[in-house]
Amino acid sequence: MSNKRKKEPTIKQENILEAVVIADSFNKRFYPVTAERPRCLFPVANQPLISYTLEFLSICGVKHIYVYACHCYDQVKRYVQQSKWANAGSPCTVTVVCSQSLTSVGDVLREVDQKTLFKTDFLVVPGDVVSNMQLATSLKEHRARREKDKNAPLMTLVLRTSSPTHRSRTAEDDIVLALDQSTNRVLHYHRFLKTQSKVNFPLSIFQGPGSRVELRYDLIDTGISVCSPQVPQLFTDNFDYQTQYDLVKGVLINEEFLGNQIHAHIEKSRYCSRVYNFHSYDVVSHDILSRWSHPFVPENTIDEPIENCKSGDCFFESYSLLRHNVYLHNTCTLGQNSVVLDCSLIGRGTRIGKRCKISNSVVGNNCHIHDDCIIDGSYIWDNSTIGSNCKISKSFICDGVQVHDGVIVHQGSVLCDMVHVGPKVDLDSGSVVHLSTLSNDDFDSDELQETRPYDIGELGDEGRGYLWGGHEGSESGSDAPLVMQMWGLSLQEHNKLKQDQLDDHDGSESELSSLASGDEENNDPIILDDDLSTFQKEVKESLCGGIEENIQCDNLVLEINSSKYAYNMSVKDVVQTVTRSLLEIATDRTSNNAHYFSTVKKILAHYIPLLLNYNKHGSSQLDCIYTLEEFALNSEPTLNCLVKILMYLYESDVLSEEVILHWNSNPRKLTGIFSTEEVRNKVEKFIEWLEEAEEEDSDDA
Amino acid sequence: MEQFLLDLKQEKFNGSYDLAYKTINHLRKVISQTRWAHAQELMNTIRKVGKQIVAAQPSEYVVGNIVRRVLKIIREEYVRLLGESEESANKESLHQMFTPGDYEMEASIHNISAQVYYSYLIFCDDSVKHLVFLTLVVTCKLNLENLKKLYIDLKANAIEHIHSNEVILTLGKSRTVEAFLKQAAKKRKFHVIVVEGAPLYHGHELAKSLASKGIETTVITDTAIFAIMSRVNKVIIGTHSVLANGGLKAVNGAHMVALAAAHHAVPLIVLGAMFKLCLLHHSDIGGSEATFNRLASPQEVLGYYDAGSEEMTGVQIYNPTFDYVPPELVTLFISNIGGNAPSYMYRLLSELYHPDDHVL
Repeated sequence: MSNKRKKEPTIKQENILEAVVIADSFNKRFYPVTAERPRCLFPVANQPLISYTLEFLSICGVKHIYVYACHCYDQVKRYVQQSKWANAGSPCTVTVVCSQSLTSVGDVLREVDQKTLFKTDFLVVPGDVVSNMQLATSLKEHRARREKDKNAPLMTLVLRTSSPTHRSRTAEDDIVLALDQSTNRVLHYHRFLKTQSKVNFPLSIFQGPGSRVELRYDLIDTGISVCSPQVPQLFTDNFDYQTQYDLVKGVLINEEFLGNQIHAHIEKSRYCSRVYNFHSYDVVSHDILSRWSHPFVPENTIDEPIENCKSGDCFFESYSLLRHNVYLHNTCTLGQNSVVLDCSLIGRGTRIGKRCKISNSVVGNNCHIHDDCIIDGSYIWDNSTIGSNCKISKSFICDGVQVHDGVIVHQGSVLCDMVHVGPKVDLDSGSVVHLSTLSNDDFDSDELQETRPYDIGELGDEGRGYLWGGHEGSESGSDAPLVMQMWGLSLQEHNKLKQDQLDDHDGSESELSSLASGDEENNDPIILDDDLSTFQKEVKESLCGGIEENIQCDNLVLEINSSKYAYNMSVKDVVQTVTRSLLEIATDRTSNNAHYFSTVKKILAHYIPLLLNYNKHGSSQLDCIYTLEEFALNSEPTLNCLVKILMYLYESDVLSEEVILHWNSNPRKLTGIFSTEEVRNKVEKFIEWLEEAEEEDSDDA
Repeated sequence: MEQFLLDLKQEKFNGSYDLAYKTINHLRKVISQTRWAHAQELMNTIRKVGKQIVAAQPSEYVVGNIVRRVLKIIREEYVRLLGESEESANKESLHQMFTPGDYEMEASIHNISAQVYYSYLIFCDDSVKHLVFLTLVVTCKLNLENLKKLYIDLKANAIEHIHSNEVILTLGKSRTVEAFLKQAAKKRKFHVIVVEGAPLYHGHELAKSLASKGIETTVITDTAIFAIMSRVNKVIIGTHSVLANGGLKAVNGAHMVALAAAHHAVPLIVLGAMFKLCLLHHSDIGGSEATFNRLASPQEVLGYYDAGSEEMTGVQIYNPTFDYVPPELVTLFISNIGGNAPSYMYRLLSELYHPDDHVL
């Protein structure tokens, strides 16, 4: 507009800032709401989620935004085409890239690499960010670092401080970082999983000369990162990287020889949050209404059509802000004695009947709420109807839903698009009602679905929709109730749950700690427990298959070695895993104690070449024997025939005499059902025999 | 064109001067880009655009003021081009000023435009139109020049109002006040007490800037205003805008300062350029909180980090930006055209804007 503005772009022409917006979550957190609608088009405070992200980027001075859309990409595309971003006067260009073949963030970046979109630094931003940050500082930092050193600084992660007990935190945000204090270099990045409560920091990060290391547990990953053009290449080189977290881990482990570094930018004052589950949807909506995201607040709505002129009269459709953060649209109507209490928003053309009470809620456009309703902490999207005398608390009601008279919807329920409920029913806490044609467990039986009657029993006579069975039995298998799984745990709830589980499974916890204490000498503790467990699973599967299909040991060795590199396991881990897996297979096959040794022997006999291959050195053999012992401590049949197993392995040259004697004289502190002394007692005779044999040998010599 | 609207909506401007500058520029573009045949048509276009940009940010009155000012200029230009003397066209009496919807007045305006229109029809002379257009653009440019000169005019008053060894109290940071004090400091020696103005603490910036010019400066907290007022000779503050009754929409805390000053009988002087003078009354604005005030992010009051703990869930945090100061607490309003009492605002308004433009 003014002269100043015109000058700026010409000066900065050389490095136009570009961004990749990943408008897909690649997970099913919001399923079945996301069945026919991408997450990035969810209305948050009556604005599509992605509009916040695009607006935020345009304010940060991004000139070209690539939106990668996968699920329901046509809707994303249509939205962008109709929005102001498609106008000629738009401050930045938005290109929507559609592809359904992409299944992860890694795929998106590999695609970016294929097209070589970027020659300079660019931003990677998830399509569900609500923020009023100024990325200028993090960009400046990143560029300054790049100028100093051309190749080393790979990316800058943008993190926000948040107290460890902040209400916006969910279990997924549980991260801990080790940073170099002077340069803000990320030395270690760990994401806690489920009930995990331990983290191992590599000793090397503390040993650098004059290094000052900060360990921080008060950060939230915003998902935003400033990337150098090498980042997409790295994703192409490492085809198994799925997420940015994989990349960060990979880079940190291989830092030594690749020379790449990752830095962090820590935002202290501005607001930035992501919507990635129901809990965070709730928190972000509330934050927007409490104006944390200012200037992105409802009355500054940026997405409405700018001109809405009819017969010369030009009025902006807008919200007016009343006391206690109540936002009413100019065109909504409120019946007699109805009250809208703190942090609520009522959308365009919505009609509310008499004596209603609405608090902490967002009601979308063109909804109709009848008399005497009580709505608390709920989100109602567009075009829904709520009958009279309804009670809705802390629930999620999507587009075009009809809730008939006298329905009570309890906490944590989700009513998907076009569902009908009622009249006069009581929806249990955490119930999910949907109309989608896909059933819970089998996705193929469409025919069955079409004829399936609506769940009228639960949903009332006028009900249209099915109750969602939930994801129980699927990969999560956590004890958390369905509500928790769906809504995502807030931190307090999570901690409670964690505590409960610890109480329940004291045994398993101690097992974990014993494993951890065994790792003391391990120089490579970066390996995450989840990696270890998947590795163990894979090895066990290959070994199991090996016996059944009688595969040659050489081939199995190859297979195990490839998994070893994929998960970056040490030789020690491999030895331990192989030994343990073999014993586990044996235990799985026989419950009968009498036949136990014969089974073990059969398996061992088959795998002797494999064991020989891995137990060439003394240290490996030691690992092997300690693992045997550890396993025996928790399994009676193994304990009983441990002598025989040792004998067999000794005879087939897997374990050498010295190793067995060394093991016997140096008991490690291992815990289990039985004590190490019992083991020693069991093998006493074998050891004596061995010692005698040795003496004889030395005598002979 | 839309970019300006978006900037307005997202509050992307730097102070009211910048906003005034951008608005004039925007209107200048509109005038030069639209086709029009006679005065009424051009004025209608400007009205339409004006409505749009006012609606984009209703809490920034400067935009509306500039639109009305431009409309007034168009009227004046036409009258001048028609060759009528200014007095005959500006024959408004006091009575007429208070009855803007007067039929007689309206008729006369329509007459003027009708005359112009007919003259076009008769002569079909493009050169006349061209001339009108040129003068308009030039006037708008002049207006911009005036805007640039504005601070110089305003500053010129400084010596008259600040005397030696006075103790002056000011609140937050206003660019006008800053320039005013620095101008006075060239000739006089005085002491400035700066109220820090939580939660933005712009007062700290002002104090730094004043101290760098060798002015004796003290910073106090907002809560110390009343205690220190007895030692103050004059309070000088800036304002966001001046309402039609002489009341102020000023930075948060101004009301407290004004009340303390009134209690101690300390004169309260308000600085502001003429474009801050608007036709609205406080009662026009009331009702909706958003149009009068601006609630910013609570971040500055209590950080998001701390506000998220479990104990804080029921707590609401507000960060309002403005205060209303009633006219009886204001002693003097100094603008680029000199000092005026708040009770005189109605007269200034009638000179600045045409009564027919009060409602766009």
